[in-house]
Amino acid sequence: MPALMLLVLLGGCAFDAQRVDPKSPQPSQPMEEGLWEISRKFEEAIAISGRRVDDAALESYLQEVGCRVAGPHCPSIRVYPIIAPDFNASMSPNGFMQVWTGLMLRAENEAQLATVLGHEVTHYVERHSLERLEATRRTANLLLAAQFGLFAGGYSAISSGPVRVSLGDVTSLVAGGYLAAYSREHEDESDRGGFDQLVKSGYAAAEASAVWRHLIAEQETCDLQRPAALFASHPPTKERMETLEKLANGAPAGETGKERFLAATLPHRAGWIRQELAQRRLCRVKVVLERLLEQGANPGELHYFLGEVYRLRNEEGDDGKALAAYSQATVAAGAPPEAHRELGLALRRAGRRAEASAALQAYLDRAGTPQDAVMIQAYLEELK
Amino acid sequence: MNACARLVCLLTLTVLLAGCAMSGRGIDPGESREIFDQYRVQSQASWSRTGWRNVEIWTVDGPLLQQLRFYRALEDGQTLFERPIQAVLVSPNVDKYRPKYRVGMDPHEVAELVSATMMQFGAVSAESTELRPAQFGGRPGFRFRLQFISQGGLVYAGLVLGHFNAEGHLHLVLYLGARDHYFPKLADEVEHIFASLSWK
Amino acid sequence: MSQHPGSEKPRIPLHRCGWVQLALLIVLSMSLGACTSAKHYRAAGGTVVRDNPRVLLMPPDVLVLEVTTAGIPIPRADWSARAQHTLLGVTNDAVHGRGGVLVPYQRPDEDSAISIAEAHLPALRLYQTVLQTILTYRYGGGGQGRPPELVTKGREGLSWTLGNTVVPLRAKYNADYALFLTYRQASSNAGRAMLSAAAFVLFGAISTTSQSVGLATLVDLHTGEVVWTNLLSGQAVEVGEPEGLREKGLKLLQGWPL
Repeated sequence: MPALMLLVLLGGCAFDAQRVDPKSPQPSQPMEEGLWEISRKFEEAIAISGRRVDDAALESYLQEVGCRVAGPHCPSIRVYPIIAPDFNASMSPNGFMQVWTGLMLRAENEAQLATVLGHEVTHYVERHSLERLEATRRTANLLLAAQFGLFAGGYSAISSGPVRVSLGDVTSLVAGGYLAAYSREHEDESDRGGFDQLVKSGYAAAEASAVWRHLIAEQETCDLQRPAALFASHPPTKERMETLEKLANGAPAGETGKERFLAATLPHRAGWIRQELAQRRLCRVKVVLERLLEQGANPGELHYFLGEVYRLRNEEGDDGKALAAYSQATVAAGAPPEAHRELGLALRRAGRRAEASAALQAYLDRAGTPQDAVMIQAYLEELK
Repeated sequence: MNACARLVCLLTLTVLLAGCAMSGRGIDPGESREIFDQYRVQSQASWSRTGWRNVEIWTVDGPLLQQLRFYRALEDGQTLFERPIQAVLVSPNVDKYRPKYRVGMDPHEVAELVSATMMQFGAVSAESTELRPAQFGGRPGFRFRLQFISQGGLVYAGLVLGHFNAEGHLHLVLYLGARDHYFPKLADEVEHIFASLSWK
Repeated sequence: MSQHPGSEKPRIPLHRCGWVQLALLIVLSMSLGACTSAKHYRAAGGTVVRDNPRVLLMPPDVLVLEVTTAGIPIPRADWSARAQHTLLGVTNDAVHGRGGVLVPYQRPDEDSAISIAEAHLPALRLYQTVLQTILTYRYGGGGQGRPPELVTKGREGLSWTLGNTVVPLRAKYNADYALFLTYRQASSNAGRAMLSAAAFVLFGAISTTSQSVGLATLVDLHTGEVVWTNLLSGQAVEVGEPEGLREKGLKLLQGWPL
């Protein structure tokens, strides 16, 4: 990424903006007013989009955690849960934060979630977007502009169906462009700032490096060519993880907030896993499921989805593994009724008719009158 | 956001649903039309029509508002939607991760295949429900309903009719539309078309 | 850390690919290289024009950017506010001129990020999708030839509706029509203009240094029908001088059936 290197070299520390004053969280200059205006439009588009999780309880939980790490900046921070199956969060210049469902799925407790929220809050407090924009404007370098994707007059267009769709919607481009590339310095500053806030808020400091460790594991196990979305421009290196580990050594003990985190997220977890499965990155889903199994909450649900991973992967021997996972699910806590159904369907495919009937019947018994009851009854007839 | 990300942006539900330009061809009321040398259907309304190698698409108000998709029988390893060429440019790996039909799937797996495909192309919370046996031109098949939300928040409804042929290939007809106004507008017409289906 | 390109699949597209945005992409693509133009369509079956119409003004979407030498559009909140003020003034005069009333949409909650009430979101979302369809089949083609044709819709007039989704809007505002206004402008500063002149010399091509697009739509709240659309594209105008913007406003309302 040579363009990025140049960006870092030229754009690095050109301009150091004042921190946001929590007593008057306002744009500090005309250019920042523009940034806020764009951000407001962007925030509204997200707020009414289909991707916002339609659940007030989850949203207010995230807001609480955000507030805890934001301290005096709490009233200016708005946290939205966003349906997207990858590890990511983002902050807009006006304090509007998005937290992806893929991040919540991968976090194990509130402290891990707070690590990322604290990092994002630091971007806001330190006005990193303004600094990036100012740095770009000052260097007045076309390459930089290209990196930002901000050519107003040069929208590239590709033919896509009925119309030539230009890629240059101003609002989204500008918003996306300004958000896209914090510098390495900004990321490091936010790592440190986020960590400080984490500790100050009474969270267990060791959890900060755990977030990194898990992502590195997911990446290495699945041989990802590109890192998870959050880290595309600033990979979760071992070095970064170790820095946080060292910092944690001297920190006071704190809480992980695991119970609260699980209470808020478990009701949604199955849906989030289903989204990940739809992306068919089965290796990554498997790594996440197996790690969550070590954590212990609702193992039945996790075994059931592991079965789904094997069913979809369909490699040599996966039939048997899927069967085993489904049947383990049915005897574990927290399994959805669908675990019985999938077990029944897998047995039916394997020609084990009597067992298949029993499992499908168990599904009907547990699910009451499920939406697919008519189909299940038809299978039961056929299996007689 | 870099150029790649912006290209990826285009691989949206919008593009997928918008399909290629609907050409000048149409279906007249009462016309009986042959689908891929496989079967015939009869319409009562007028439709605009277009198609690709393995799918024929009908619409009245525009494919983003409602569309009826008839598939050529899907074979092992095939996908439900044509891969936009841009996707390949962005990531050569893209095919590896696309939901594919596999001979031997059962109707539940097909229902999951359809909703997963919609989600990969940008639909939010796609869900298949009310799976049940149904006739496909007098042969045993299945049908189910589909619901999903677009990125912009518009709620869509869908109806799917399927049948596995003797070779294990999957015949599929998909009706999708905005839940407000446009899906219901032609729901009866589509039921009529389903009922009119007769094998060659 | 923030929005970054995806891992290794066509990721679920983000906010940037919302329906409004995509619609605007198309609008903008058509403005590329185009000189000033406006094209409007009216309902295919004609429009019943009501006396003294009450016109509900949906929250307008006006954005003005300054393009720097490097080609970076810097959003200008002050310019946007001024442009919106001028455009709404023209609109208000036009409605009054027909003996009607322009009723501004009321923000449900001053503190909320959302300017549209929950009850009206279905209408807004369907509108955005219908609009995208209209842009494709009436304005598509990117100025290079005719838009694609839907034989069920022909090439002239509009025959799209928002159906019953407009009922809550009509109930709340007792209005006859809803008016949607979008205006976008990117103005270059002097440095940028110089650069484009240099590009002309070097490559024989003019890069667009300033551009504007406007889109206005009228929906009949009695029937849900889209009765008029107008798409305007051309050069940006000086925000400081209201005359240019007033003229844009008048062009934007060209051909409306009221």
